[in-house]
Amino acid sequence: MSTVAGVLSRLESKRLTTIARTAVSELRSNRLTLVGALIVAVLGFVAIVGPLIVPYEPAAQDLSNRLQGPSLAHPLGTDQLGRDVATRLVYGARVSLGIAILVTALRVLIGTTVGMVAGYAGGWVDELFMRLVDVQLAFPGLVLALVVAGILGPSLRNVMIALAVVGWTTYARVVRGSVLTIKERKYVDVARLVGTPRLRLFRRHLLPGVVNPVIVIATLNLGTVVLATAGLSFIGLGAQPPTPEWGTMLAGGRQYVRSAWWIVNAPGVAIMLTVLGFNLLGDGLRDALDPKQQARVEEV
Amino acid sequence: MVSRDTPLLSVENLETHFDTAVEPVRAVDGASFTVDPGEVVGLVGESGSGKSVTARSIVGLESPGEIVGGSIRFDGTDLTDVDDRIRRQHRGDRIGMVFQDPTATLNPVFDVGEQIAEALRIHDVDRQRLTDFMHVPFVSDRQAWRDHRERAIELMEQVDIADPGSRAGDYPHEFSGGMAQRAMLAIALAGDPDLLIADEPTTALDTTTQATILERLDSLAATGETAVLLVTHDLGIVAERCDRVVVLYGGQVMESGPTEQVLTAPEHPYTRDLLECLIDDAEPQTRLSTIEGTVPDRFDEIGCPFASRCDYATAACRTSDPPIVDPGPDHRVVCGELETVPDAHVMDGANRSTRSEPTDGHAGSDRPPGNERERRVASASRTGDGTAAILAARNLSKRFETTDSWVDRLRGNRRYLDAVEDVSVSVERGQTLGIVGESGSGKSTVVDMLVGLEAPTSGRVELDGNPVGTVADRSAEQLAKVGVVFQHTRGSINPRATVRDVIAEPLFESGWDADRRTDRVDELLELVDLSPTHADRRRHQLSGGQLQRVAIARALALEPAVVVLDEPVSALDVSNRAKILNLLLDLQEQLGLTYVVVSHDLSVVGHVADEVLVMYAGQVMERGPTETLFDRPSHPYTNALLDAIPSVSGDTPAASLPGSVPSAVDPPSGCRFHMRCPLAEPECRSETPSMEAVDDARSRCHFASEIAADSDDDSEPLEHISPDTFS
Amino acid sequence: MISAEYLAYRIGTSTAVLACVSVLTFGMMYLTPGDPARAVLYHQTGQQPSAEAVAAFRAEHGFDDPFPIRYWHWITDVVQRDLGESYRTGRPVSTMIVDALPATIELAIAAMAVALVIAIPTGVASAVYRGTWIDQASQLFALVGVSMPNFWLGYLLIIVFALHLGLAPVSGTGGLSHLVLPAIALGTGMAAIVTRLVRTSMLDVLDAEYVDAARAKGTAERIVVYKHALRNALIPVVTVVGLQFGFVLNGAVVIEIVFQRPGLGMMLVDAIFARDFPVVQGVVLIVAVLFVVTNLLVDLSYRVLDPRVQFGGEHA
Repeated sequence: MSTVAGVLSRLESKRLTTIARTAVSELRSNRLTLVGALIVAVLGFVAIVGPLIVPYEPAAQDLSNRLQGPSLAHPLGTDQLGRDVATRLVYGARVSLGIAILVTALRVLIGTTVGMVAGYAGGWVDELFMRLVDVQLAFPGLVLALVVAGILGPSLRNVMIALAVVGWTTYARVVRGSVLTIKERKYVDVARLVGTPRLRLFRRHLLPGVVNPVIVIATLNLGTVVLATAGLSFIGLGAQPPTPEWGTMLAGGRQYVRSAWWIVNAPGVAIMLTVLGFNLLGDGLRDALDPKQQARVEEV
Repeated sequence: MVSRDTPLLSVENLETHFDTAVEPVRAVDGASFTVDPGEVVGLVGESGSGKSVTARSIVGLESPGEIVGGSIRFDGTDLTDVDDRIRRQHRGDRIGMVFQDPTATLNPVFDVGEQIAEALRIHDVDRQRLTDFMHVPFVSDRQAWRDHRERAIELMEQVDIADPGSRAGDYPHEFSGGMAQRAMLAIALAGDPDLLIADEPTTALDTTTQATILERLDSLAATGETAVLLVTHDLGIVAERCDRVVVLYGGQVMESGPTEQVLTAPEHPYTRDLLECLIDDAEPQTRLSTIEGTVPDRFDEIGCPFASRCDYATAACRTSDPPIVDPGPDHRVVCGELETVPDAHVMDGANRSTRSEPTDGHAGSDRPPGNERERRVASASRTGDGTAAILAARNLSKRFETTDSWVDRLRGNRRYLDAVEDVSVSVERGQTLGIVGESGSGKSTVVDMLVGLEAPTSGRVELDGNPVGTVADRSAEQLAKVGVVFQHTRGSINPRATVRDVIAEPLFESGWDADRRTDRVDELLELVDLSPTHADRRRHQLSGGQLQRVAIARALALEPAVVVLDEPVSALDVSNRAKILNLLLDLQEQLGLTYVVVSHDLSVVGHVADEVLVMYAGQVMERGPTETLFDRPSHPYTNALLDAIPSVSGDTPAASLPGSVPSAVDPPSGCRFHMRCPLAEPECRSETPSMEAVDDARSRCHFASEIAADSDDDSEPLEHISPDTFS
Repeated sequence: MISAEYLAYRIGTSTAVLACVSVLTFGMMYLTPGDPARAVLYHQTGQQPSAEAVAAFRAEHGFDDPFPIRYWHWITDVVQRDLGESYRTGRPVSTMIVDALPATIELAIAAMAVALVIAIPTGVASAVYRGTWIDQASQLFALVGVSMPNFWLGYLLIIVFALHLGLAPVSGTGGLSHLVLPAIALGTGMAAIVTRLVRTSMLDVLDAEYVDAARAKGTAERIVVYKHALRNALIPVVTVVGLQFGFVLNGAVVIEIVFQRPGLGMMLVDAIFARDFPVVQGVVLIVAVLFVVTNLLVDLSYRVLDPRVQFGGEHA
């Protein structure tokens, strides 16, 4: 007889499903999220405080102590120039995290602005911006970043510019999508009905809906940027020796994989843990903030 | 009736629980009932009563829930006590199932023919091998494949799918809801089951298609070979189709017995309350009976689950499980206070009393009894195009462009959808206009234009006699004059805002300061019977009924003269529906409001409206005073709509209409309704009828006056709305 | 199944995108700080070039013409399959690409195969056995796989399988044995991403009413999963796998360096360091074309996989 009542009672069982699922998955993802947050916190702490307490200089060479295995003096051994790997790892955290944060901030800024304007304005503005995104997406990201950074000249600053230029499209697309969806929501109609001016409509009803997905993507993105920076540096386009950057360190140790495995593996593990931390944190945030998840709970 | 000695299905003390982080939800909590061979049994209850989970438990689809107790004996086998393979063999082979939303139950990526053929294939093979089901070239048996396809097409024919040969190749999204449900039925019948479980099979369908599906189920049972367990929330359907009824609440059976007995002489307070909430026989525009409180999320482990809402509950009801009483043969009631419950009055509809609601204390409860509409109608002059109209639409049309390909656009090959064509309506101060139509009738587009969210392609909207444009063009004063309550209330409330913010939004935009806003919101909350504690909640913390109240409060914030309500009660259970309708009537009297109520449910509109507009495929079919439309409809479509309402008190079962609403992209020539009209003559196909006056109504039919005269002969009272003249 | 009209529309937009891409690709050399000609000569000789040498180079390569004219010369040549000559070696860029492309494509396809072979069964098992140790193990794999830098994974594989176990050659190109380790190094990350996707997609689908309806027919669970559920779950997966092709190309650059496999990636990196602009432009353009064509194919296959998508054409 009444359609919606019917749908609701069909969902009767689904609702229970959702209750059960969210409860279980929340518990589990909470624990993992905690691990992620812990990794990120430790990393942040190391990046800020670490350089103040480590006993060595990151660039201090000690040729008599080249390629030493892990020991009490050098817990992660020394590299091909006798530099303490652990010390360089700690300094490297500073570089990686700094770049990740700066690049992500730039991407969010560009992408969110473009997405908001395109989604809200619609019409030819939308068309123009979205074609721009299409063109940008015609290049595989890292290849484009590689070329941009390479032509600008190898340096960390140029890597940052290149990565920012390459990565904003995700935000633009997601934000535009959210804006378009929310624009169709009945509560936006209600706001129009009571004469809400455009700007306030934007701020009160559209903006808050966009914040959550952006936070989630940005967190996951921090990990991606760490990976990309390391990758570009590994190729030789990013940080230049003797800057203690993880990708550069890995590249420097590659002739010694047979004799001094720690030079390659120490930064490898560091990169992996960092990215893992951001991924865990991002996944947890998504579970907590995802409007889709919320909607699923709300709609039943 | 078939022998009752050996029930086909016997559910005993069934308990299905869902694990949650806090404590298990006992969705089914000791339900017991039986189904005999060839019998139609109705399983009724509000949402949350556990009726769906019960039905799913029988076929083993209770996951992620778990059957933790009781037994399900089917033809001697306890299905809770056998391994998955045996349980699976019962599915389809012995027990068929039809689900609620037919468009969601067909797999979107396989054509309909294959999905029916698959059901046949399952019964033909001993071991189901993936290759037999995936149609792998050279591996699969092509002959068997072809045979099953042919038999699938035969089955489609049996369930009245026209042109089954070519429809078999269509995908589910190309099927209308009614057709998809027939396909589901074909799947369920593929294995010649002894029991068919239908879980709200018509809830997602339009009322006019509902009856065809139900008739189909009826005829199945009539052969005596298939029993039907019909899960529904609609007591009207139960009354018309079921031999026996099982009333469920809180996962337990409250009452069960022969339909006739249970519905006319209900013993259990819950069954009575449910029946009394129905609009069916209530005086129009009077308060309906309601059930106190709402269905809780969880029930106490001990005691009667209904105790918290029951008028007769005693301490014993809450602390010990109620006894089972047998008031008559095969009639069981689970209640410990039957002696204190007054004797069941015989409910023959006509002299059913409307119980006043002491707990719902409200300004309107001292409203004098009697037909409110008559009183109001007497005081208001009514003309279709009344000059005193507060809100009016003149010849509104809305055309949407649906050209989706840019190539077509370039070629000038444009396609349009005429959602609304030449609709004129008006409503006078203090009156209620009802707009009725099935999905696709254009009623929501009319609402959008009335309130200014869409600009009409032609025609105009008038407010207080002055033409008004869209929202952007209306003055603050004009905006304040019209309040709107949208369909799907949930979506109209920002999930991030508190109830207070939601209700205050119109006030904020009109420049009220914070203190005044707070006062007004408190006032409004009281007006719609929400407690001040609700003010800080958010959308997901509110029940359907509460959300509806919030939306109403927001619509009333700026003291509008007119409130437009789009499907105000369609998402609600009977008792909540009654409560919201009561509230709306009270508010109207208290504040002198004018309503425009849009609904697909003719009984709702019949209850509240003074005048009704019946829409079909974008056009007005008939328009007139409510009694006139109900008593002597002058359009076959109105008639069909009236016939399609299942009713507890009706003598004849609801009748169906063949076919479905035509596509507005390519509307039929002549009368829009001619393809489904039982009275269509050749001229209906070629000539478009115009609106014609028949007494105080106007109708778009070539034979309007004959039809009106014909229905007048029946001279049935308003309450009995099943003249069934034309089918 | 796909209308000619829609095909024309998609090819039209893809061509427009590629036109813009070509302008950007050609314009990239202007990003070089200072005079590109001077930079090229400096990188070739390793010392500051004389003014005459610069002038001669500019004249020879048309550096003095305005951008639109230079672009016009370049693009008309490109259309005739002439991508110019390498500044360094003088070899035609198109020949160089034709030589390097097969190795990269081989790597990309092998990596995709590795990824899908791992991801689809893992993702399905993870969803079907939700919450069990199987699910947890596969999710752990997915998390670690996504987080692991592929170049480091490459070295790990070299250390374990090539150096210690001697099961595969360390570097270079050749038969299948040369392909295994790079394909695993490159495919693991993608496998992780696709595993997660298959899992979520499957979970969504397994929740759908039509899956229960299939069970209600009496369908065996195996058929419910592999016929009814997986077929639907793969629809979003196909899109992402197509987009992952870009990911593979990204990764190929790094993996080729790790395993010293001559291919498009290595060629590109060498050319960038040498400021060998014709080679850089040629490679970037080819990669973009490959990428756009893949996306087009994915889009079209999506329309075949999902009957609900209208074939008439849709406007973005």
